[in-house]
Amino acid sequence: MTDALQFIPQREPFVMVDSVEILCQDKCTSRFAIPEESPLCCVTESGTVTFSVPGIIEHIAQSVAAFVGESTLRIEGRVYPGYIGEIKDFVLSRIPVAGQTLDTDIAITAVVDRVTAISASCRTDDGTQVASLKMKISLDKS
Amino acid sequence: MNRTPYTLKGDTVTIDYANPIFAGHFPGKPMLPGVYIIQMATDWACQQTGKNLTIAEIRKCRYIKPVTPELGTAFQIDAELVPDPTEETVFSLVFTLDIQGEPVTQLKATLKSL
Repeated sequence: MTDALQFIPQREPFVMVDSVEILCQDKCTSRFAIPEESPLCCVTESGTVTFSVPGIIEHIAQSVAAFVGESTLRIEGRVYPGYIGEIKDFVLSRIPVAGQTLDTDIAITAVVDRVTAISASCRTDDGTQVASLKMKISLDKS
Repeated sequence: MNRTPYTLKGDTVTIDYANPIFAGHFPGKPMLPGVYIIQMATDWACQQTGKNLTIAEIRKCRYIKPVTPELGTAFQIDAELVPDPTEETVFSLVFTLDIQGEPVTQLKATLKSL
């Protein structure tokens, strides 16, 4: 696993991926240890600090950004900002809690111009399924 | 740190670009993370029902244009929340975030009580 920060345009306090491993031209995995102070954590009535659905989705989006950023950094010498263009078929299985680590598998299903389409599956490091989705990310090269 | 970079009042949302999250998203080029619109939709649904709801499924969320300071700070919600006829803890949501009548994001989701 490689430190993902060099491949993404986000910076603290809005970083939601720690490391990424490019497996081949259309697959990667990522990892993120959920910190209690993440802006997308929330405290439940019982005092448990959980990672929200927006947080799970942002972690996946930043994992894709790291995959794309590794390529643009290698080829063009820079990393570009991007934004989510579409989310489809998101299914939540379980809300993770702060202190847990997310392991996410991403398959690149299409790349057309500045848009990358993916499917992703996210679980905690004990193997418990957290969520899955399809997503399109657009690069902002303006 | 205030974790939420917006204020929700009824059907109006106001973005606070002074929130610290914008320093990281992105440095020198503030843009509202699209996931916060999903959070806005959840917060709106919770206000409507008085229940603690979370997104269980997203059938489709389409981001039509990036939300940046140039677009403005005040947005309107046009949404419908329908309870499931057989399961009182489940709701279907169709949610649109508009600015000056133009849609910015459209979301279709299922929410459930925690």
